[in-house]
Amino acid sequence: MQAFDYQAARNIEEALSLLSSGDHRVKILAGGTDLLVQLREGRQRADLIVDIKKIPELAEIAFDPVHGLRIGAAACCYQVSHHAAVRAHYPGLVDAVSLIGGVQIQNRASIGGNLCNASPAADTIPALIVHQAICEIRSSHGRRNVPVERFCTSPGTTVLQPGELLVSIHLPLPKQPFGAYYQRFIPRNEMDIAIVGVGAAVTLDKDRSHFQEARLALAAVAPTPLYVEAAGDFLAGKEITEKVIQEAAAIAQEAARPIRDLRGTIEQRKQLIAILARRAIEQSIIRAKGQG
Amino acid sequence: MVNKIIVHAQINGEELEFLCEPRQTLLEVLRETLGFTGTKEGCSNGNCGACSVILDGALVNSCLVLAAEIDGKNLTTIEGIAGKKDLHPLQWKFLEHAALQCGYCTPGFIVAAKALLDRNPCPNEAEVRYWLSGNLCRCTGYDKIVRAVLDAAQMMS
Amino acid sequence: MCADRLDDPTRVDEGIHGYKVIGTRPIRQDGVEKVTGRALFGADIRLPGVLYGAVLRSPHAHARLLFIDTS
Repeated sequence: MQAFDYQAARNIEEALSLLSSGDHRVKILAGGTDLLVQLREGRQRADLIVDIKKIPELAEIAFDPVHGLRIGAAACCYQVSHHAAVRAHYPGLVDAVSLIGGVQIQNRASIGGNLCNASPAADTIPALIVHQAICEIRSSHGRRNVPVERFCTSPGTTVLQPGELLVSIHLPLPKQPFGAYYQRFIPRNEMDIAIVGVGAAVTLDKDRSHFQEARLALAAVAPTPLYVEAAGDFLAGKEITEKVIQEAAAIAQEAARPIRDLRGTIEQRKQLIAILARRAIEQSIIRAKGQG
Repeated sequence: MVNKIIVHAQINGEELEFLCEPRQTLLEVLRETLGFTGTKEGCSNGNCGACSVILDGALVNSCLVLAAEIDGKNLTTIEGIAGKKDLHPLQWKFLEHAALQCGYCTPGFIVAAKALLDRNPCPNEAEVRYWLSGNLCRCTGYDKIVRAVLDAAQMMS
Repeated sequence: MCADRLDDPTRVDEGIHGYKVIGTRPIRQDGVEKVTGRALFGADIRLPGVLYGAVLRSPHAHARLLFIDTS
C-alpha cells in the first residue's frame, strides 16, 4: 500500500481546510470499501487521507415530516437500511442499500462514497434519483445543491471541484400514495456488481387507478447512472394498465446505452432493462397501494 | 516523511497500544505488529471475508479498515472467541459438523457467525446464508458451515 | 460439557467390527487449532532474514529472452 498521511477531521471546517491544504493529493475516507482497494491497486493516489466519519453532520441520519430525510455522506448502508424513517418512507432506497456487498461491506460502505466513486453500476444512485434526492456540497466558499441525477459526470468522476466536499444527501418527503422499488440482476445471490439495475417510484392519484407522477432510473447501462425522464413523463396522468407499463419499460430500454463488458452483452442488458423496469414499476404500484 | 500514529484500543478484552503507519490496514497490524495471525488475508478487497473482525459490535473486513481508525474502539478477533477454558459453541459445532477442511476461511466464518448470533440469536437458514454471504469457502461447499451455525444457535438458546 | 471434550479431541464413539476409528465420527486432528485461529499457515510464519520472491513477467508474448539487467 502506498504511503500517505491520515487525519480524522472533527468538523466540516477542518475537513475543508485539509482538503485545500497545499498541492498534494487529498482523498476523503468514509467506509473505505472503494478507496482502500483503489489505493492498494494504484488506481488512485493519495498523500493525505481525511477521515470524515467523526463529523457529526456526516455520520448521522435525520428526518422530519416537513423537510424529509437528510443522510450524512458517511452514514453506512446498515445505518440507512435500518433507520425507521427510511424504512417507512423511502422503500426503494432500502432495497438498493441492502443489496450492496455482504454484511461486512454494509457496516462500512456509505451512500456518499457510492456517489463519489461514481461507478455507472452504483446501486444506490438510481434509487436516490427516483426518490428525488439532492446532494449538498460544501466548500470554503459556501454551499451548493446538485440533483443526484446530475452528480456523476462520467465513470469515476463527479461534479465535485477541488476543495469541495459532499456532506449530505437530502430526500424530500414523497407525495402519497407513494411506492418505490429497486432491483438488479447479478450472477449470484449476493456480493456482485449489477449487470443491470432499475429503480422506480410512483405517486398515484387518490383512486389509485392512475399515475400522478413517476420516475425511473437505470444502473450499469450508460456511462453514469441514467435518469430516464421520458419514462416518468410518459406515465404521468396515464391509467395503470399492463400495456402502459410495458411502454414505459420500452422507453427505458430505448434510452439506455449499454455496452458489452465482462459482466454482460448489449443484447442481454437490453432484455434485462425491459423486464426489470416492468417489475420495478409494478412493485412500486403495489407498495403505493399499500399492499407491499 | 510520514509520522507513525499511536493507537489505543481494546482488543479481545485487553487494553492495547501500538504504533502504526497511516497506510497500514487493521489486518496488517493484527498479523504483523500484534501477532494475531488468526485473522487471515484472502483477497485484500472485501470479497472473501477471511479477514473478518468485529469492530465496536459491527462485523467488518479488516483489510478495508486502516489501523489508525480503531483508536478508542473495541475489537474482537478469532483469538477472542473462545472462553478462557472452553471453546465457544460455534467452534465446537464447526468441529462436530466437520464445517472446515483446510481451515483458512474458518476464523472469518466463526467471527461472522458470532456477529450474527450476537444480533439475531435464532436465525433461520435463509438468514444464516444471507449473513454469511460475505465469506467464501472453497473446501466445504458451505452446507456443513450453515448446519454448524444453526446447531450452535440452538445450543446457545 | 465443552471442557471434558476439549481433553479428548479425537473423541471415538463405537467402532464397527472392532475397529477403533473406522465407523466413528472423529474430530479432525488439527480442528481445535483451526477453529481457534492458532493453526499456523505458511503466511503466518515469520522468520528472521527471510527473503521475498516475486514473479517478473515479460511484457512481450513469445519474445526471446536476450539479457536480464540485475543492476
